[in-house]
Amino acid sequence: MKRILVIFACAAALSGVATGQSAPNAADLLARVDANEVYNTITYKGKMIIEYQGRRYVKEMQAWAKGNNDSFVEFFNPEDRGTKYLKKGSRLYVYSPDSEQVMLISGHLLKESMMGSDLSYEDTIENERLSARYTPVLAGTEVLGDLKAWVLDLTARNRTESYPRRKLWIDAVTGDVLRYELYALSGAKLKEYNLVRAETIDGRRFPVESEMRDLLRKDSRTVFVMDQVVLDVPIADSVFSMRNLER
Amino acid sequence: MKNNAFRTVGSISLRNLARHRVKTIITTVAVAVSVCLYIVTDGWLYGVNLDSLRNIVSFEIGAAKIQTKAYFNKKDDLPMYEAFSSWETISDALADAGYDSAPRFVFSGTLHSRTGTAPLVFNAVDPYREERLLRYTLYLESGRFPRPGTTELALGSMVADKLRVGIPTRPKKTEYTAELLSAASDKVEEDFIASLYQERPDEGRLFLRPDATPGDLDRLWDILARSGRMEVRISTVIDIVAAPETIRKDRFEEDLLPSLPASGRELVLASYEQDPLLEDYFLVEEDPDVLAVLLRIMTNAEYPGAIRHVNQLIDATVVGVINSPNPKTNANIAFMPLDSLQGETGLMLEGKVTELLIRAVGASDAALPGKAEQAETIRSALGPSLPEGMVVEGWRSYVADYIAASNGDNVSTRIMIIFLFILSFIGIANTMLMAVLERTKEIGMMRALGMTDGLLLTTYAVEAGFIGLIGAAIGVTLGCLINIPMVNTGIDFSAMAQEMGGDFGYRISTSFRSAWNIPVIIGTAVVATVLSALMALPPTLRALRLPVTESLRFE
Repeated sequence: MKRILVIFACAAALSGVATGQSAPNAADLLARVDANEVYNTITYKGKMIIEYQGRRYVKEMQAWAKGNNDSFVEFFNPEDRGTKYLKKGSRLYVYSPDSEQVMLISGHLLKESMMGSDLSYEDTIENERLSARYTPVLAGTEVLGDLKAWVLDLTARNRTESYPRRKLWIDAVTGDVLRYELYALSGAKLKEYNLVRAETIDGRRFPVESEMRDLLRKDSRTVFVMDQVVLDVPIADSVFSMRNLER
Repeated sequence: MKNNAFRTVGSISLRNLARHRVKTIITTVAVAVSVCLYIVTDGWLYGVNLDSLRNIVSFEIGAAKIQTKAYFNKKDDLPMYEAFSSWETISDALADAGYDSAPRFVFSGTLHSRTGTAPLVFNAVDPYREERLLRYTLYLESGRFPRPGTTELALGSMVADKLRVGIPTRPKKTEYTAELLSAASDKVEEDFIASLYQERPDEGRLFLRPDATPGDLDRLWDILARSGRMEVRISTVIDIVAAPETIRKDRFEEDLLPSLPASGRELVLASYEQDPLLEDYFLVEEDPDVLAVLLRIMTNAEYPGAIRHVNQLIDATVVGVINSPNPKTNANIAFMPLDSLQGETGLMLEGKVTELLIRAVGASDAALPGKAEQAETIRSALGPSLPEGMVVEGWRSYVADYIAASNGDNVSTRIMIIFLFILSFIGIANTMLMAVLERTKEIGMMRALGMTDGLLLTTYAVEAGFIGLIGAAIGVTLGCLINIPMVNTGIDFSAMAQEMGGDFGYRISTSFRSAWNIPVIIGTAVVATVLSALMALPPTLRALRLPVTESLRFE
């Protein structure tokens, strides 16, 4: 089912954007962004490099994910060894080896920084496709570095959206999301994402190195590097289980 | 005959006290110290608790609150989605019944200043009603209380100090130079700022002169405000409840349905329809009343898909710093006008509040709420004006943890003092034992001369009772003398409160003062006298059990 959707979405996107020459339809552009992020499974090893007020922290992890719904992350850098996160739908659980307890991260806790990074827990558990949640408007083109980018202005379809407004810069040639900005209801900018490096994996463009900045944190940025990315290999359901979290 | 016997008993007892002067003095001192210690400690605990409770009522809560039942049940989480509207109708009904009320919207967030961030609890209030009901608005260390219609904030003094907002009272030299002096636009202003601070080189800090006038502080505030020191940003989330339009198949079947009661499950199944192609569930119910029930069922089950968190960032200006006798209002707390948060630049409140604070019109700050301010009385006074799903809860319901902890503290402190009390009476028992043993021969002689056992028992009990009475009198006098400055001035713990972030249990931020607890003072003196008298009975009874002939031969 999901594969069919992916094919439809990609086809729709490619018809308007592949060449990147004529102004594409905003909805098609967004559909392409969504389609690129749809995969059956993914496994990778990664690093989260947090630079905060002159200090640098490196968190190393291994992650498994199934679609946008289930994911499991285990940290293995010395300070956080054994810390695990399990995401099931919109629920996020954390296992701390110090307390040997599983905790559900919910409510306002979801807004807190994840492992001291510029990402909030809520940023990590977004499920739905952008096109289902936002109305896109093509705001024009800009040149980022030496890349031509389409600028999409997204306004939330309903008022319950976590970020009521987003702004996306999409590479006119590759369709990569080069940059995005997240805004509060008042219109103030909260976060900034910049793509550092994307690679083609199994015929699909994938952001393997990116940078996130929480603009409310002074002198702070988090660089996320993905390594050994493997897409669409079967992952046992037991990986995304409470038992695995507590083991 | 009887009077004569008592006179004899009295004179023998007094003579015995004089004969064994050293023992009498030592034992009397032990009793006096115990009594004094108990009176002082009890007075202090009583005063501290009384002040704390008064401060809770006058600065934090009022006599009672009205909230939705759902909010009250989850009040520690500050669930803003359980707020209620049309509070004005309830407020009018309360006014008719003789109560003042003040609406509040309480939410949590992070305050960002130029130099730092701090997690805070924000109270959005109606400034006029708040000033009428609570007293913290009278304790502005500097600046003023926020005005309606503005995004102005009044901050607790400790968080203001931490975020370097407001007028610093003891800045470090670096802060003084980089943030205070640099705010001056010319030499005159620089000299003015310098004139308000005195340097203490040994402490590496400067101190705001205690003789700075309100006019000086206002001028300094304006200078610092011009430099941007008072500009802050509130980062928070708006909790909005809404029945999700789409729910994925697995979440619907694995998360939502199992968490619902049977009736709720039926309603949810009737309100959502499964798409035959996508297999996800789509909301098909449109009736607002049914949707409201659906939402209630989902939020009761704490289904996360029904509670959404919208990011919000609000620019605000700090206009005042609060330093009241209740440390809760001085810690990580902010007050701002309720009306500034109504629209999309605020929290989209649409007239909703999370609570309505209540106090009887003209209630005394010195007294704790009486019967007229009990939740039950307020509920009866409101009658049908209190909508369904709303609760009136007395102030004690909101500080149950504090009351339990404070009661626990009191019990442990009292137990320690009672142990001291017991130790001193063991001392008396020991003294009496020695005294009676030493006088066994004398007891035998008096019994041989015809003195009855009852009179002898009374003689020694009265002797010990006299020790207790004299000790108690001295102890009460000393205790009361110590209590006078403790009641009037107390002990200043403000520095300790500052060090501990303003919260070390009691709701007092400055001086811990005692209070007069007259029943306990009288009771302590009576108990000390009676216990002392009783301490003489066991050794005397033991001596009286000996035959007269053996008593006379006792060495």
